[in-house]
Amino acid sequence: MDITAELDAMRVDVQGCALVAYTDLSSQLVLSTSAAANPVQEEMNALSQAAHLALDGAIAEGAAVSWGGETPAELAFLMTGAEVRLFLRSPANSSEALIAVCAPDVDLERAVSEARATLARIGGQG
Amino acid sequence: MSEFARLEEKLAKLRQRERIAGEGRKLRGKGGDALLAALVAEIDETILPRRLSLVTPQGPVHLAVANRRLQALLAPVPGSLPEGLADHALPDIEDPKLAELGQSLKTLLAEAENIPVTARRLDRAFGSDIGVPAVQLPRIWTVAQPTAAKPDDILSGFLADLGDAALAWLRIEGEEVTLQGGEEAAVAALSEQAAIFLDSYFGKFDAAYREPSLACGTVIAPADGSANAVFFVEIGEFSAIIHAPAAQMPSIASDWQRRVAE
Repeated sequence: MDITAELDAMRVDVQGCALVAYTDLSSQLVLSTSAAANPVQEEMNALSQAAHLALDGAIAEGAAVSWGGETPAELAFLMTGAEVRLFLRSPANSSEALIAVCAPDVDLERAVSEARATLARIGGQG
Repeated sequence: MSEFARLEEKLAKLRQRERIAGEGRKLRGKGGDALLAALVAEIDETILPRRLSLVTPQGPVHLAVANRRLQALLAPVPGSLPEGLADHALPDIEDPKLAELGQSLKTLLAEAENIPVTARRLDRAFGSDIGVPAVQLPRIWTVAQPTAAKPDDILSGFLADLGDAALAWLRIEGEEVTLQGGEEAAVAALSEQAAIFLDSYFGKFDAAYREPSLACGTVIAPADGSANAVFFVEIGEFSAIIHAPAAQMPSIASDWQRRVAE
């Protein structure tokens, strides 16, 4: 399967998941997307920026002191009453990450597990 | 609470950035009764002195609110509201202008639906004896009592149920740490590190959260599941920062979301 097919599979497997994307954290560009409805570019840009902030940017740096600051953030959730945004860094390429936009009551343990499995398969294709 | 003095000092500075200026949300409902009931709930969630601004179809309506009390309608007012109501301090429920204000707002909102509301720091101080408690407004305005769980109750329940899942947590109201949980050393470490996290969080909040929401939860975790991860929750004017092992965070975050999901 190619990357888009892997993202499609995760979106179907995680109930309440509306969008899954693969992004380059350094350039803040979305590389591939799977979505129930075509997202507008502005939305994708905002997601990429949020992924950068939460995994590599200022918010991640502020949090890293809590675990000694020697390793980067791997996982982040930005959550409101209306949605959950999940960000998970790729183990194969630390400058890339998976983004999932889900319902506010999504099963986060399952979503993270599926995201890890998806990234493992994507990394295995490299 | 002296061990939290540095954190509280930092919180005071961070709050000065007036993030609240961009903190808008909506009174949800259709028609005067429903929107006025939603306004009562909004007043009931407002502790610090705030200027609540409702964006109505006939123009903005500004209210002075503090300590869960409605203090005054502030000028300028839309043309359909009586001028005499503006800037009149409401001492208590017996003031006839309170009922008149409720009726005027109900009429003004009769055709409206889902009104945006923003909260800014109140730049005009009213006396501490001024203001009608939100809990008394439904009776005089003849609208339904708010039934939704209150933000402080939601946060209290969440923190009480954390149990051993968290290593340490601090509950924050306004600029004060009001409660803590966890072993002494873990709490001390969290209070040291919280200021650093909150500095970056508040500095980038608007980029991370573009849609207004009553409740926000932010988790940042390292790959090592046994290492500390950070969870910061905000609901209304209440917040808490939590340290827990990274592997526990999906479960803890799910529990939070179950309480605040719309």
